[in-house]
Amino acid sequence: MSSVATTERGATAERGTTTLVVGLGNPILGDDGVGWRVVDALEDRLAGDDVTRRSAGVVELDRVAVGGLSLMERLVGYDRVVLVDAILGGDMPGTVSVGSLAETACRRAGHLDSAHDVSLTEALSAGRALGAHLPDDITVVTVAARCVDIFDERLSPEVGAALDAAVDDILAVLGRPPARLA
Amino acid sequence: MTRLTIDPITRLEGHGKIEIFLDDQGDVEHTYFQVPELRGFESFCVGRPVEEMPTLTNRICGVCPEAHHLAAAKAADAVYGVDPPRPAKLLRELLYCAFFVTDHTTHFYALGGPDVLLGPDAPVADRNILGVIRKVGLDFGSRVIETRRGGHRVIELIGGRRIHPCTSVPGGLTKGITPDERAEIESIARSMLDFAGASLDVFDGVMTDGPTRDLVLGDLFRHETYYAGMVDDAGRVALYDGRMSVVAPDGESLGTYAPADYRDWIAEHVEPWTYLTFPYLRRIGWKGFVDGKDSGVYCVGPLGRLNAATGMATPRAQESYERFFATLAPASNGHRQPVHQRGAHHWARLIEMLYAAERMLELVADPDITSDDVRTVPTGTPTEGVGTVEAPRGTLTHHYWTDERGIVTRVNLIVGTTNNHAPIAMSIDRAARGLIRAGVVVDNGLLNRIEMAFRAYDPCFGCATHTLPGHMPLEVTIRDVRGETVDVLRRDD
Repeated sequence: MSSVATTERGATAERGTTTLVVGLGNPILGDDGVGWRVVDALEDRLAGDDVTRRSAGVVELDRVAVGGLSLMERLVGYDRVVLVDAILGGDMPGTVSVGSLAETACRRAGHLDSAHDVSLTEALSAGRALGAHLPDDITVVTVAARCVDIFDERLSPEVGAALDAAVDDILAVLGRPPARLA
Repeated sequence: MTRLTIDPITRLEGHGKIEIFLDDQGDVEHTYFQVPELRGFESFCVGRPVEEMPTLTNRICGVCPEAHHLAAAKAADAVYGVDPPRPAKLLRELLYCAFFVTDHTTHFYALGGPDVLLGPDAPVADRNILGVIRKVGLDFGSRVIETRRGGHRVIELIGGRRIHPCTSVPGGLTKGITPDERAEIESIARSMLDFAGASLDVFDGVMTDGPTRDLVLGDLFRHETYYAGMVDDAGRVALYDGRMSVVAPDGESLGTYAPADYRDWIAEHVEPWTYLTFPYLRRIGWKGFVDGKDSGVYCVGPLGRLNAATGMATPRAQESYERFFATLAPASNGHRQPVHQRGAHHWARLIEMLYAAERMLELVADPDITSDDVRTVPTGTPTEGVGTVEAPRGTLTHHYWTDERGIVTRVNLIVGTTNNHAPIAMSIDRAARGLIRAGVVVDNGLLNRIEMAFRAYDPCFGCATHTLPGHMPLEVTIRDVRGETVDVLRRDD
């Protein structure tokens, strides 16, 4: 939404050569907002280190509290996207995982299936059917959450301690050339 | 006794389940509809300045932030005892109508509507937005996305941001719109009006199909309850502001009230098996999950609004409104009857979409719409205030109490889906009893028809407590008397 940062100022690259990193979640619902906080930490890291910023290429950052169709609409025009989301499941809180959208959707990360919307996978299929330019390369970085049902602007300690590891994983993805999937 | 559980796999945003208990003969004995609770919203708000509430509450859930933003802004107006200038009210309503068109479009083409568009017998795998695109064609499918884009653009122009507007403050708005922006909104509204009309044509087309007609008109999804919705001075449907109207199952008016008096009219019943309360009409009383004039259960949302009103305030929507009632509930004893078929929510939603688009064109044509007189700065001492709007899925009320500095001391929210909690539970029960009988094989198709019973309401528990999405993976566990699993059915998305 409004909080978009382009790391190389003045870059005139087409959207297609830009990687979009989106933090998903509800920033006032405890660990559910970890995606936003990871993107905040990534923004700080990129701002503070020229070498890291150059190796990451052209990156746009965003934080959204939507899924499904609205999320798909946000991804139009990019070749590569990294989504950052909270996940509930068997992992210890604070565990960071990286996978493709297909792998992660099976694990049901929080906002890839939206509350009141179609799933992102279904929305992407619909968008493609309608001719939208949508990324083939979607990586999902998840952080295992501890508590997502109590309103709170703070993360639980073990989830908060995972931000740096999640940023490292995103930077590793950004350092790779974009994948072209069939 | 056998126990059937319709249990979506846990996700961050929600985990609702339906439990169906069968008796020894294999008939339905009880159904329970449960949603877990999101906690701590009140304590989260207490201690914050009330002017933060419009931007804070729109974060409760990503589904209808615009409704929370405006209900909160109206409550904050009331806390300060300030009446926003007319241009601010017009602009808020314009934003809100754009949101209504967008939200109803999404429900009809992507969430609950595919049940109607593709028919209840279409395979579950096809009953989604992709199936809809195949049915209506790529060009029409593109108009769905175009309508959403237009709606988000209007929200951004007036609300300052897409999806999570931030411009409403106590006493009005932080900014107005320019003549160029007005022209852009008018063009979007024209396109939305065309699209709403075309959507009603699409609906007429699918209603010629027998099973679809049964879904909309059939007794399986029929309840005779009270209905409530906001109305203007002439008793017509209002979305942003007005009085609340309540109509009895036989069509007689129970009365109207100012939204700030909601506690004189609405009470909340508690059941031991769910966190979420069941609001009912205080004057009638809670008589259980039963139909009829003696039961205080009421229904809100598109069907509730149309039933509680005497008409629509715009010409094309009024024509559609008249046809809706002539088709579904012909007048008897000289006065109009409510439409009780819950599947008619889908039709009512499209009539509201048409109204909201027509209303946008009226609002952008108002000379005040580009005025820069958009805020009355509050000067009174803040105390307490109620703000109510009609959210797409029903009446939404925010009620705040503050100290003399405007710091929030207490919060009460009653959201659309909570208002509909009792009718939704009753519809699930009705559908389960109608469909599950001794000897009938319980399969995914049958369970999906039970889901259709509540999907018509466009339920969302993101802010009611937790979320029961319109689209969800299901796991159904059938247990014997000892609670041991006999069979498991899964429907993945």
